[in-house]
Amino acid sequence: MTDLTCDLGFTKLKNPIIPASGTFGYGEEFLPFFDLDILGAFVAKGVYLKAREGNPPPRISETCGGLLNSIGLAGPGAMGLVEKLKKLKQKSNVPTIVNVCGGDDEEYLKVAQIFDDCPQADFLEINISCPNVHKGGKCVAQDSAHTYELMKRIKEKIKKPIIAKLSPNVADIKEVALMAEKGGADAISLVNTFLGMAVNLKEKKTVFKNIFAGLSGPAIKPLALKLVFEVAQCVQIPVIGIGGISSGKDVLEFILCGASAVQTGTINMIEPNASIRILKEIEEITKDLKINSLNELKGAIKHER
Amino acid sequence: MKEELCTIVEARPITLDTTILKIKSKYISSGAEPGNFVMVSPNDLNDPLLKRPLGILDIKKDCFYLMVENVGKGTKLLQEKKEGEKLCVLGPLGNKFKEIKKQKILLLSGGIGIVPLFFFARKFVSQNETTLIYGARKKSKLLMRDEFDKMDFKKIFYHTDDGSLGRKGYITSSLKDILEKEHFDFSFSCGPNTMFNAIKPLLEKHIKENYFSLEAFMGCGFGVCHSCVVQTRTGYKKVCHDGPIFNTEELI
Repeated sequence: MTDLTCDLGFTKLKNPIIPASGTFGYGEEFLPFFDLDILGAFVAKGVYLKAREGNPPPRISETCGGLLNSIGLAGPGAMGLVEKLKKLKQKSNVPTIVNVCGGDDEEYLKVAQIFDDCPQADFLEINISCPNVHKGGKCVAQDSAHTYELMKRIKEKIKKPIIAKLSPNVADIKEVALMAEKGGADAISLVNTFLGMAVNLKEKKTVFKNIFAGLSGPAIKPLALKLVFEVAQCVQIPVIGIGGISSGKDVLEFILCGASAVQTGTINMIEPNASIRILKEIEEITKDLKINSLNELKGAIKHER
Repeated sequence: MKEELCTIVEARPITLDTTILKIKSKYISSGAEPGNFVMVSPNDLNDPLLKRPLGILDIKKDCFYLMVENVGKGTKLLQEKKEGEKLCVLGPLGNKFKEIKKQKILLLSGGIGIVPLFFFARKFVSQNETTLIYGARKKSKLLMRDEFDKMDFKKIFYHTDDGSLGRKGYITSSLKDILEKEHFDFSFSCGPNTMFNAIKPLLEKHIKENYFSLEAFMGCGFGVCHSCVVQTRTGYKKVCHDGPIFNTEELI
């Protein structure tokens, strides 16, 4: 048996599989499919302070090997999520990460505080890719100084470990990662969706009312892998790789490139049992390649430079 | 609700672009009710990436039936499936039609919307006094007519846009006529959104309880992705999870 445990510094996970925020609902939706305790952890759907209706439809568009979404972080708000997590934790012990959103810094802090006080939330992932109301829709992650500032303010106030979730839609992601680390992030997760767009040729208009939407799915895997590789080389804190991961092979590639754990996204929506299959594939591949532990694989990629 | 690897035991083309798939399945065929749907993978190559939502046409013993109309890349692949091929199916999904007995029921269908209504009719026609109004673009698109003729309907009105069978033009003309003359307790409809907009005010004026089975482009089919929402009086609701069947009074 391969040792699948992953060390994130602030915690040890039984395995590297963490379904990503927005692709695993509030956990409860997957209870009919499998026991959530098989997972390393899971990230609940991103949450703002107040309940949100989300964007008008259409909210998704399929691309070659990918999915564009403009859901608009619909959800029950922080207190609604607290109630959902209370119910979930009666049925499962899966480590739970709350994806904290905010329209401005104050909202991030308020939401983070609520879940710092919520025993059902184990760790916080700060979604710094939310459009900021004071910056014309630009997100915190697109400004490394702001990323530092926000992470620092959250870290000063919050006792639970915090993970900074980075956006790939930046000129230099290494700079943002370093500033998040300097600000006190305990880990970094990357990447959120890539901005893209879809066109309705017949009606000569954009498919999405917001024009741009977030691209996810197998199509983004090589792009995400490159960014995870770069960030893992420059920060000291653990990196959680995200982007199109759909198989055991994908997981091991991200770990080889420096990720300590991974988040699976779109595949959970297409194949609700994906986590079971992926874990099985990891067992098979590690056995074939005589990999004894994921820790020995982590960051062990060979390259000329 | 479960993900099941099923086998196609029969693929029967009924028109140039429509095929009925008979699928052997232990789990889905034992639990599905009229109104439910399934999500089906067109292939396992991640292109197309998403499963396709398809209404359940019928269930017989350990098989369920799907009707696939080729309307794009995913449905084309599904429509071309052959006997013996495997299909990854998630289901049964969504809510079901209300079970009713000894009532006067009106069924309204447009195009491929006939699928859930066929399953409804198979189960409930004999227990109620049921009238069907069914429209399609042309005669060859009015599907399952032989089967409907064998069922115990009170009346069936067919419509085609081109007049190649039944009355020419939209189903609203027959609907107006019959609502003037007859009383109904319930109506159940499935078809394109344009049809709903045309029939909703008529139905609500004359019939106490009306239900629409909505069609939507879906990401997951089980309430996770929040993409297939429809505007209701109490905010957005998910067609896959809160529907696909809605009381028309809920819909705006």
